[in-house]
Amino acid sequence: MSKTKEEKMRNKAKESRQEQEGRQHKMKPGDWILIGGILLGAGLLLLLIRGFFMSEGTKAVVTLDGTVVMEQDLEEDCSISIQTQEGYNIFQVQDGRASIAEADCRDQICVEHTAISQKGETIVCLPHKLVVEICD
Amino acid sequence: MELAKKVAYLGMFTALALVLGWLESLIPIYPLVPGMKIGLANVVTLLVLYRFGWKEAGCVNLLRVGLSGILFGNLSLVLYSLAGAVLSLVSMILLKKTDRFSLTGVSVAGGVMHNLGQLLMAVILMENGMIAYYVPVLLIAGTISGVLIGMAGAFLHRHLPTEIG
Repeated sequence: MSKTKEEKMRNKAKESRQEQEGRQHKMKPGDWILIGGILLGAGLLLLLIRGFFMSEGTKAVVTLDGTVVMEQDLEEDCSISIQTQEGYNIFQVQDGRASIAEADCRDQICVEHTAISQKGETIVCLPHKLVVEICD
Repeated sequence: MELAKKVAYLGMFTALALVLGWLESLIPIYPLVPGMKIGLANVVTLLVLYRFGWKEAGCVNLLRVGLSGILFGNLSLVLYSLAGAVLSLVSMILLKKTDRFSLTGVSVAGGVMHNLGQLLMAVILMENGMIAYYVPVLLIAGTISGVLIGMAGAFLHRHLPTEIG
């Protein structure tokens, strides 16, 4: 008799625990704050690292098949047509950023490339073996 | 709960955690970043933490790390796992204690801290601070895997019979 009573009480305790735990499965506001905080922190850190590792270059160096053909200070705007054996590229510096404004290469990848200004960034025109690189 | 029963359950969970850790090592995705892991074994840690308590979770976790080190790996593997496991377990225990987070939130903290712990150990062992570059990636990866593992853990916690724990 007393054993069944004890069992009943144990079952009841279990049930109430189950109910209580059932609530824990729902996401709490704290979860969202935690997840949001971590993602925000990661984003900020990413920006910080980018800012730390990437810095504006001071000049653009143009090479043709490995040999330097010109260096251009990014402070000075210019628009120069560079003749290569395969065709021409119009190299442009505007607002401190270098780009290829026009070229008669077949893929036009160099023309479509966005203007560059960060140290180490490059624009490559593979058909004309022309490389623009931002240096210190 | 009787001690014998408890020991049996905890032993079973330890074995399960070991198998899950082994299964994960079979998944042929080379991690993008050192320290990145899904953390399948964390399902077991979470379950033991919620069903038994923090001491039991600690026991199972440490046993898992030690045993998997003996079975599959070497000392450096144990060091990496230990750093991740201890950091993640402590943060999960503390977060659970505050009662402001659900199982999912606790799992996210565990996942993130596990990744960070491993990275910290990598910085110490390799003596290379540049690895800190990976922190944002690890934070995001840990959050995603933490949410998924948390969902799995919550599901199991709800559906496993109450006799366990």
